[in-house]
Amino acid sequence: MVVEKIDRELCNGCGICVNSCSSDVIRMGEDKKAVIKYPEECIVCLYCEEDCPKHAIYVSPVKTTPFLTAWG
Amino acid sequence: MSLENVIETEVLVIGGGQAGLFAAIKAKEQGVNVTLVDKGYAGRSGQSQNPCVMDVFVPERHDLDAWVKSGHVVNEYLDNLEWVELVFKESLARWQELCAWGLKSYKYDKDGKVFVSPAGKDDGEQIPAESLGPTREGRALSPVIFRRFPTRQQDFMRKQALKIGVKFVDRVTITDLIKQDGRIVGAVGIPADSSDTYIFKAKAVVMCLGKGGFKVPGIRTVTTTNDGDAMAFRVGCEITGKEWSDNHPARGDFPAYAWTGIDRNPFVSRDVATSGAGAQGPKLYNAESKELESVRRKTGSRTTGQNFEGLGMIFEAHAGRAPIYFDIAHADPDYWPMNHSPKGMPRQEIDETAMKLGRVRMTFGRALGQSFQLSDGIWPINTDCATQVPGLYAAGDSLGARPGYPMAGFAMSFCSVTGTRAGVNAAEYAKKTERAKIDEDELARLKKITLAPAERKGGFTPGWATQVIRNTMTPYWVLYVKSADRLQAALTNIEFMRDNVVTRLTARDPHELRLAHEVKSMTLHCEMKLRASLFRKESRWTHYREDYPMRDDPSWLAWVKIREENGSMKLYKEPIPKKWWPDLSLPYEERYPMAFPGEIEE
Repeated sequence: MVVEKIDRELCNGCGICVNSCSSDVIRMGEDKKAVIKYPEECIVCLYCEEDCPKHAIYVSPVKTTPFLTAWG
Repeated sequence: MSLENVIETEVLVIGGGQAGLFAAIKAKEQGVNVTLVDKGYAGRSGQSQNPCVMDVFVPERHDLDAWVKSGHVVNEYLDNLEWVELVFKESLARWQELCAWGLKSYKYDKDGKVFVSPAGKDDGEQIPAESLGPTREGRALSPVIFRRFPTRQQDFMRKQALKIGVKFVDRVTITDLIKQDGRIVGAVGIPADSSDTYIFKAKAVVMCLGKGGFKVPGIRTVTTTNDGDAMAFRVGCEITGKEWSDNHPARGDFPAYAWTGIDRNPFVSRDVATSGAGAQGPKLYNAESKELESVRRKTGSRTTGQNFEGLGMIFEAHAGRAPIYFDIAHADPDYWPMNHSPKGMPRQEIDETAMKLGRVRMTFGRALGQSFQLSDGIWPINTDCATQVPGLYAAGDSLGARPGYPMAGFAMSFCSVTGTRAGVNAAEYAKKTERAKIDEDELARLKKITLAPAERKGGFTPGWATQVIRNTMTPYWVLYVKSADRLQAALTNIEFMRDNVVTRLTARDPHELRLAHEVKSMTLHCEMKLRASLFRKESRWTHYREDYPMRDDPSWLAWVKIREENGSMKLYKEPIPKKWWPDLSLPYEERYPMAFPGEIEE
């Protein structure tokens, strides 16, 4: 769901997607490749996918939210 | 060990969208030090990442009076026409600057096809009347268009700002303004990826943080959470326009996906009608298979206005006649309200689902609960973009100047013009102001508030709290079909959250600390929206009260303002100047071409 995949083979570690994501979903991993760190914050804007020069990112058009609990 | 980063600057600009970048560049051009801070990456964050059009008034070609008044009836006489006129008059200069800095513009040729135009040439071309919303009048007048493809629209502005020496601090969320001796002297913030703090010491601060909502997915602007209004409110500014809410229909089967709604990106499909309800477009039907006359965009005056198309669908749902759907089986495929994702990113499953069913079920999800564009924010005391607190300026969607939204593309003009004014005036103020020595006790107090969620041992997560806010505010009967009892019920819940959840938010990491502060801002925004909605005892524009279904002239030809007084919100009316009133001798139906349900017995 949401930002689903960053292809690690294709990712060149440029970090553009990190800057493109104002929701702070994507971070650079220790291996200098982008990782989906906080997928629950993805708002399906598609900027990361749109801006990726290597077409390594796929954003799903579907987003589900967890069911609401009494506290959390 | 956490570090405290102290940054001294003369002008601090908070927020790096169109208004913030203009403010930073223009302040810097006055010869002062300027720092721009953004919770994302300035130039790629904020609301103005997805601009389609910018209105540019060209005196020798256009009629100023017609432009200024183009949205006034549709926006039900709420627009501050002084600001509208000012923005149009200054729009050409801003456009020319954008072109000089490297803007790429796109235009239509005679056949309606999009072509790339070298920036700065052929400005002021008329484009087909049906191509731009939200108002019929606006569409006929919008003269100049640009879009962000192939390069992101604000990247070139960031480059320009860097070139002249603006300093950027990215991925730092500002949590509070520092006020001392009655004026603003800085701001406190937290970075996204460390437990450090940031203290900005400034002579003037420009708020360019946009509007906001409840982070409902599906529209590209929802990372804005009204942080600017919240911070300004806490230092004593007046906030206006909270009773107005935006509405953007979404597809029922893919409500989180921005490119499936009926208000399409005009540049993605060949057809540029914004509502999918042009002459050839698919028609909307309700559960009784009746076409929604009140929803369909017509060329006549009685049903123009984006606002009423959205409300029309909500009213149908309220009457128990959902689902509401587009009949695409009998419409020209070029006008399908389907998948209009940006180039190269087709989502076949979306179109396939629709084609299989022959209909597209519509609902509301995208942008639900968001402020209406250019309709709420920090009240300015003059056209210099100054606020009630010395040293604090506001621009773009943070500015509650209530210019209205006379035509599509006005927002970009407004952000450019107000960003410029705020930047220039903040710089001038900074030049004649001594740097304050910031009181350490006050700084310690603000830092303690900022870091509190990270230091609590237990409490509630911001993710859960955000979900509760959405669940409280999203049902249509809270912010779209309002009544005193339901508003009060939601307000009771939000007050409980304010007192018992916001005060006990926890943050496991810096990312979550930002979220905790966003929840705090969103909760304040909710309270303001509910209180302003209770206060305005009439219906007007996007504000529909079932218990007061008519406009009430002249007593509500007024703006609502909110300010803090003894720890609680005080609401009051600011009368709209009589020169902008409708002609009260006209029959009600002529003053207000759109009818609310229950308003007049048919």
